[in-house]
Amino acid sequence: MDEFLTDQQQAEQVKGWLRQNGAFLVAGVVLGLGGLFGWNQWNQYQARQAEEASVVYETFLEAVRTKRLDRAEEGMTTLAAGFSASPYADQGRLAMARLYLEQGKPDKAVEYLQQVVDTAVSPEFRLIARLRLARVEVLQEKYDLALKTLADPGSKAFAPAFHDVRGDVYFAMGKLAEARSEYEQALNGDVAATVLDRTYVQAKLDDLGGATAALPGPAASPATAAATVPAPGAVAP
Amino acid sequence: MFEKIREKLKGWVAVGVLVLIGVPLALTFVSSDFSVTGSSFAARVNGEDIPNVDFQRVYQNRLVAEQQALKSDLPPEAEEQLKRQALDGLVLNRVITQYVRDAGFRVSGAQVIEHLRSIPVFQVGGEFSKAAYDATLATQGISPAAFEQEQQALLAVRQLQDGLVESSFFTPAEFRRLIALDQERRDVAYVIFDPRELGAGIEVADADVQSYYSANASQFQSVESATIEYIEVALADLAKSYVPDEVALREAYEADPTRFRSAEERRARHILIAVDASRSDAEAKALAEEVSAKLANGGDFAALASQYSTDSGSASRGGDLGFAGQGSYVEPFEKALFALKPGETSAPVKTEFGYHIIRFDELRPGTERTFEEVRGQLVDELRKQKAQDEFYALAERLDDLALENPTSLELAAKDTGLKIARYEGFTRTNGGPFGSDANLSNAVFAPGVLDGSENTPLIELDDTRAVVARVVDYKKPGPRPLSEVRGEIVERLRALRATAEAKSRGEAILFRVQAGEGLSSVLATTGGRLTEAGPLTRRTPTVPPELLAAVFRAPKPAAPADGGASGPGVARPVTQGVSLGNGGYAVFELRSVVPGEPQRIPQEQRDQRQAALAQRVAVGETEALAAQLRESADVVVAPDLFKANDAEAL
Repeated sequence: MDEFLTDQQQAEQVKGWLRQNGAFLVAGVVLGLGGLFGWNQWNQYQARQAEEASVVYETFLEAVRTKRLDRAEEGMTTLAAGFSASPYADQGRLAMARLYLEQGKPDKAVEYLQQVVDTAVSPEFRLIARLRLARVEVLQEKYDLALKTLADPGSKAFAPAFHDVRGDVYFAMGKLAEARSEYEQALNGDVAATVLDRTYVQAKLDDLGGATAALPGPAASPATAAATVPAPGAVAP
Repeated sequence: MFEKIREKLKGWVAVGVLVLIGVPLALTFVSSDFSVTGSSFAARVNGEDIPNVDFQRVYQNRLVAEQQALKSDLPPEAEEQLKRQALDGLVLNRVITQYVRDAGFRVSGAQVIEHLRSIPVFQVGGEFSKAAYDATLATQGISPAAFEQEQQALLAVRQLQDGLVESSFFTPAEFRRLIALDQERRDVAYVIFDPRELGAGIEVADADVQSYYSANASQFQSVESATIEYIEVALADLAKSYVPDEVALREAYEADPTRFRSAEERRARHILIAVDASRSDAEAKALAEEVSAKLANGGDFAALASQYSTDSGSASRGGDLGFAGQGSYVEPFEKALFALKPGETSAPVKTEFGYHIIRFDELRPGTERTFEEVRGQLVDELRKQKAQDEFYALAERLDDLALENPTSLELAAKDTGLKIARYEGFTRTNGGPFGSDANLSNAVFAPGVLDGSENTPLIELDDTRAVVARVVDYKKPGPRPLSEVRGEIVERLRALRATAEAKSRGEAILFRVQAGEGLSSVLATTGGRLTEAGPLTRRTPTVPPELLAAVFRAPKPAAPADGGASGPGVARPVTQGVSLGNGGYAVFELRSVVPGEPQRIPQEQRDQRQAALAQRVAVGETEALAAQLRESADVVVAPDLFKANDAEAL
């Protein structure tokens, strides 16, 4: 508004504008409020659902923290049944996998991780679950499965981590040249250092740098690898 | 019409009315402003704007922090970089917030409240305090609603992060391998050939210096420099002896009547019995008289105010209206108040609002600082003003004179009474008395100025200094004479030769070791001190980093071909050489490698370490997730955000 108008003029301007546009204003407000009402209802329903899932999840997480498997299973069932499309169900599955792994039941862990890999809504969650699944498969010595799980992630951001774990798989298989190449690729990208523990990957790479030279060739089986490479398990007294 | 309302409504009612009128008006202004300045975003992330104000706040905070840390201004490139960092951070935050929201993470109001109650800043004596909460937010200029919404979004992001951490693991096999490498010890002895020691005995021939000089001429160039004459105006030098006359001082004293005087103010309380829809004039009057009578019978004013007064704002404070000067209240009210003595209470007074019972609590007398008291201050002010005026006048005059007499500064100096000074060796990076002012050096090295046919225009160095200059001598960039750089070249050649010497000595030793001799016996004939370093870890700080890295990259000593028949621990050592960062060369002998053993770590530390490693894995996964989101996000940066036109490159 023009600062130099007198108050009187200002008041007149406002009144005039209202006379001209009053009807439209009222119609617009009515329409707008109607639409808003419906939209709000839908949003509120969505928000309520999400909040409810969030509360169930927090309770579940407490059971996971205190390692109470039965209560965690219960919570997981609720999450899976009532909020299957929510991210909390997927987070729950990841947590269950860890819990079972720590209980010495990698098969159950694989089951939960596989579910996330297959059904998670978020593609990023699927990638994270694939990394974790492959690591459990290494634990189970199912190397070929692990390599399959680690097929190209199709993401520049996740590529270094995939290379790193693939390197670990090959290392466990005794395929040291392949392992070295994977570690090299893991360190190659221009992705921020935060996605990898670069120092450790470099150490794994350095460790292979000399070892392969001293070996006649890639070992044929995991058993011979353990004998020729100072793998952690082999050196423990 | 509005004028009148304003007059009457000063004081307690005005606030309420202003809110009523002010809010709809403000809304009108806001909505009409939006259409005009709609491009006030810094970046648009997947269709959502990051407001420019948010960006500026983050950027300015960082800039100030950086400047305070450096205790100086930042070069433009550094500012540019800070800007990018600030923007990158905001964009990433937004991308993550969007992901978390769209994925369906959402914490409930109750969870938000629980979180707020746990924040120490909002607690008094370990308990959440609403007052502390409000006060803290107020000082930050954030509304509780906005803050709570922000916290809700933040908690949702934390749920994502925590979820990934809580479910992360590090398997026992992974742990064994990590410890084996991380705590690996390598038993090493080494010899270092130090270029400084070797260089001391190296003579460099003149012919070599000469040929190095010719071969590397481009490295020995001087930068362009100028000898300048200049006239500087400095605010600090002006009006030093100026004494303002009495008339001017008096005028300054009277210029703003409220500056050295404050009017008296009265603190009042009142009880208002409003005349409104629920109460007629007569009823209000009767009630007011009834309250008045209760007061006369020793009733407590504050208590009665909170019981009866319809001015709810003041009623809750016992009717207190605070201090106010003349002209604050409507006329009948003011008249009644000013007729009272401190402590007295009025009979009901009628105004347009209803009936008031007024008590006059306290008089705060007006104050006045006399002319004599503030005379010194005024003299200073006028002197400063005078200097300022002279500064601008002189600067302008100087600018004109320098332009009108392009081949000399003499006239300008004579006319302004300022002195011509001279500086030799003015370069782009070293402007002598002027630091490295880019505007000045650009002006000095401009073509017309360089050849002496023009003076520079007036250059303002800051608000208090300005200068004009002319170039009286100019040295082009060119080769520096050999005599000037001889010492530098001798040092370089010596270092080069020492490095080569170190390497050749090391390699000669390596050659003999590979032929089958032991390192120590070779050294016995060649000279060189073997350092028994003992078992090194990956983090041993006392060994040159290049050497340490080479030691841990070296192949492990292989067990003897007879499969250990010749006894344990007699693997043939691995001997290698490595160039060091300081130009030296090291030859080392790796004798044995002992992997780290988890069993040697106490159980408790082992658990902690394993948990930390699991967390590290989760951090990596979270970072990858964030990077992936950032990569696939549609980000548009406002084209005018960066001066350079590479905004899209972000």
